[in-house]
Amino acid sequence: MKKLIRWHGLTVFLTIATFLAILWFFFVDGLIERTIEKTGSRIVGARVDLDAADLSFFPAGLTLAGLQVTDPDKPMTNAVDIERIVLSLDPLNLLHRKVIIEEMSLEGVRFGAVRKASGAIARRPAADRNVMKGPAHKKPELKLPVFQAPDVREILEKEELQSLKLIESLSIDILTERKNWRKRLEDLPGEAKFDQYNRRLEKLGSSKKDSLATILGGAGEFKSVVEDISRDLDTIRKTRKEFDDAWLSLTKRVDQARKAPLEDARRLKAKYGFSARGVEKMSQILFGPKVSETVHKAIAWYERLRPFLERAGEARGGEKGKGRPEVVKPIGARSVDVRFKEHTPLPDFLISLANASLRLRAGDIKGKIENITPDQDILGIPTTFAFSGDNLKGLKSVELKGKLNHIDPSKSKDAANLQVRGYRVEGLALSENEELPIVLERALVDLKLRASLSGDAINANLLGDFHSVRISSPPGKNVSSIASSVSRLLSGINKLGLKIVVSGTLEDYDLRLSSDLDRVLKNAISKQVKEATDRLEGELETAIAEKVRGPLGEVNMSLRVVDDISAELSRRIQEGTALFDSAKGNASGGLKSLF
Amino acid sequence: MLTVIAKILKALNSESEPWQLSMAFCLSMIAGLTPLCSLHNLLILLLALLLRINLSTFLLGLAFFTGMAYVLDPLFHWIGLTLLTASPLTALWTALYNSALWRIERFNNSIVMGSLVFSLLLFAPLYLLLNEAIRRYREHVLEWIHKTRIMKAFTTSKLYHAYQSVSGWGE
Repeated sequence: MKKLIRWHGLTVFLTIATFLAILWFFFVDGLIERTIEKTGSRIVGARVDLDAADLSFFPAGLTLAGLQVTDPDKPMTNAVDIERIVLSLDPLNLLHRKVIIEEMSLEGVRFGAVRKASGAIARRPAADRNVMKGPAHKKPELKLPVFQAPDVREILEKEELQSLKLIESLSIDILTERKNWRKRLEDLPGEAKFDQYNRRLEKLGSSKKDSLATILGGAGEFKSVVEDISRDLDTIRKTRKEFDDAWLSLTKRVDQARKAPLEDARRLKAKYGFSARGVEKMSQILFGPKVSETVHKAIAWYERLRPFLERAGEARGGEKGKGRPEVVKPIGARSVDVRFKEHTPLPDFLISLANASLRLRAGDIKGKIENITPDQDILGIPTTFAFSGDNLKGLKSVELKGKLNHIDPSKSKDAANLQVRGYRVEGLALSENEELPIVLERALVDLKLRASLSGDAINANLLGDFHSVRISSPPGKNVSSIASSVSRLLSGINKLGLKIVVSGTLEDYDLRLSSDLDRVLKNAISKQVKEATDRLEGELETAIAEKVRGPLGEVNMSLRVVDDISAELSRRIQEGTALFDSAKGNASGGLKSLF
Repeated sequence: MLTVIAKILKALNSESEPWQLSMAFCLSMIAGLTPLCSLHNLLILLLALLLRINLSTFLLGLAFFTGMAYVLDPLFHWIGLTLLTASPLTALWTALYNSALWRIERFNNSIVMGSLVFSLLLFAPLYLLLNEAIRRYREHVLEWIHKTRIMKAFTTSKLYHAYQSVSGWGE
């Protein structure tokens, strides 16, 4: 036995174990701090910093100081700063690897504080990258309507006129046609051929008819001449028919070319002209970008925090939550954990109650979040939150309530209601357009938001009631009469209703905004817009007509030359017909003389 | 490092029992292949210190198997996941899952389970194989090595001096 056991080894073991325990005791705080920073950064996709962590044993608890979570979209800004987090732990459950926090308090929660150093990290998590590139990030494409009358000369210098292109191509085609027809005219029987026929006829008429044979021979000659003339005449007539078709096509194209300048004027008016469409959607233009950005951010944060609401576990051999082993991948791990049915089921992580004090510019808002756990299916209770604040600076009251129900992850349903009363807005730039800068100088806003998320289907409805409104629209550069009218109207508004509806899925949602502003502006400036548009169209028509006058004149001239070919063909038909009639008469006269 | 290797060689060529070397190597295999901060490794450490095994071999084996574990992690994950999700074993795992001791052991982690089972299965065959190998080495190879020119040259080397200078603690 003595040869097998080394008894002093036990003493060495106890010494090593004690040394490790002491080491752990001294370094556990740093270990916790680094774990929180590393895991947090992985989840958020930007740096998470913690000043200090302090683990206490009697009573079991943890205090975290100076937690900073960087906004992944703005690395120089913190999405949230928490001065101090105090939480009490259940030590017995820790032995079961379960972090059960009975109560947690979050003190000095602030949003949007500026960071001293950038919180960007080299590689953002894949889930986060997907959120950013999704269609939901599309910015509204609407722009402020153009109120300034455009310079017609500048437009014509910049734009390619379809009418001019059409006329130029037609001019070339007419010249080609003219050349072709001239060539064909040369090949057709003309004066020389007709003279030839006349000489043949005269010769036949003067020849002696003293015998039946000579008479019959003469008749045959006459018949042959008549047939030749008839054939030539047919050729000329056929050519004439072809010419008429070509002429018709050319004249049609000339008609089109004459109308083309008007088409150009209409097209350019549509492109550069005033449109009341932008005015009809003024609220979408003014509030859309800010609302869209806010919605996008909210969705991105929801996606980031989703792992705290439901664990991405995969049940083996059946439905999840039915007592079958569940495979769970811990954040950032290479391996997986398999969870089995527990005799007394408890979530792996649970914060039963979190009291929070949010430090806003308006003042402090207090609230609580209950049952924060990724294992709602085990706990059987949804996460709820409620925050409220009264008589704050520039804010009469605010109340936020909600429920995040992921008890059955396949039928998750989240809902939030926000009610804001008497929120004072000051100096909010709504438009930085040079021609029409708009500033919401002052307004008292009441907001009512009802948002729900069933699975991935989002449905949010926000009603905003703006009163004691003062909108200023300082005169911009080169202000047109329409812009002045809009500016005047906006300055006169003192009450405003705004409705925002978000529907669709988290990946692809539709954002609709409407307000009283749209109707008021549309009614007021539609007439002015129409007058200005008609004026622009008239100016464009005149300028385009001037520009195409020369080429169009050339086309008309060329067409007249082509028309001469028509006259020549008519003349040849006429001459040919006369010759044919005369030859036919002579032929029948010759035969009559025989009898 | 040189001293550790020298100590192993000395132990290999000494009169110490083969089991002291092979047991050290096999225990280091469990500690090295499984995650170091696991509960069972406390027991391995206790055994390593309590049993009269060669500690130099244990330390060298620990370094070797820790490196091996990094490469073998995918295999351990596969073995662990297969065992943990095998229906016939669910009752056993469920019972263990409800025990605090086993939860601290993290047996339900795929790599912990895979590497532990792998090293435990390999323990007995490796132990017997090494025992036999050491015995044969001492009987046939050692005498022949001593007579070779290389060995004669080696006896003049720095490593040999280190080998000569080490004490026999742990034999």
